[in-house]
Amino acid sequence: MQLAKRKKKPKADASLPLINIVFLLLLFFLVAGQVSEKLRDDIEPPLSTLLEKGQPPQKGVFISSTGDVFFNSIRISAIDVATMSRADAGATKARCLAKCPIRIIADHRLEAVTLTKLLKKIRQGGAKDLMLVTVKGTKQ
Amino acid sequence: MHIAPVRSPRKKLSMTPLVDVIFLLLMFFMLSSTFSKYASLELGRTTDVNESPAQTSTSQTGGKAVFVTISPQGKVQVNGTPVVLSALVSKLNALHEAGARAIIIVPKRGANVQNLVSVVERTRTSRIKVVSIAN
Repeated sequence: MQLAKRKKKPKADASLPLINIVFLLLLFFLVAGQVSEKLRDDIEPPLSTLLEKGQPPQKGVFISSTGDVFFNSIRISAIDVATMSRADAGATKARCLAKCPIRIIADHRLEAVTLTKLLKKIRQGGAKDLMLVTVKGTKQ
Repeated sequence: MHIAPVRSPRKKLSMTPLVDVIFLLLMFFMLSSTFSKYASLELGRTTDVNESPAQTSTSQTGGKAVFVTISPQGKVQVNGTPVVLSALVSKLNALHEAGARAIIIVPKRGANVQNLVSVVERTRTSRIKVVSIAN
């Protein structure tokens, strides 16, 4: 007597649970994370508790704790900030011409006096609208 | 002669390329996303308030100006009297009752940006609405 050969059922792939988890992780990062420009490692913005949450900085002027001004990771003079960010905004996005606020990402250890001096220079260069970026924290 | 029709074997959908792409997407989002919550402090538009704060604020508002001085280590003085940071807003509101209408923040040498931000964000919640930073 010849028995019909039992057809082998294809086994479900063992990697399916793994893929499920990876999918979940992907969804988590998609929903919870916000894409932002990498901040410089040497610059930590000051903490704030009372300010309302805003967008992560996409483009900004970095001021290190020693008072050096960086734009697009090039060290520049404070007086050129307005011109350079205007040129940059014009080159990348037409909607952001001259009116966009300039985001300033200053290190929290920077002397306040140095910051106000630099802000004065940035304004002398023609900047109108300045924003100081802070990180929302729970304690200071 | 009977020839059985050739049954095309159904190919199993290959998972590998799909998984590869998902892994790449996962890597991208893991590396590029940030979880810190950012806020921004408006530093105001260019006005002559920044040039000569005391003069303009008194002439604009017709009220007295309060001087908030920030000393090293974030010690705060309101019109020369030391005030704890947590009591700053109530002190300013009391001065508002007494007729003060403008705040001028004067950072001293040794005070850092963190101290400045802490003071500025608190003064923004007080009833005195004109806040300027002296430079």
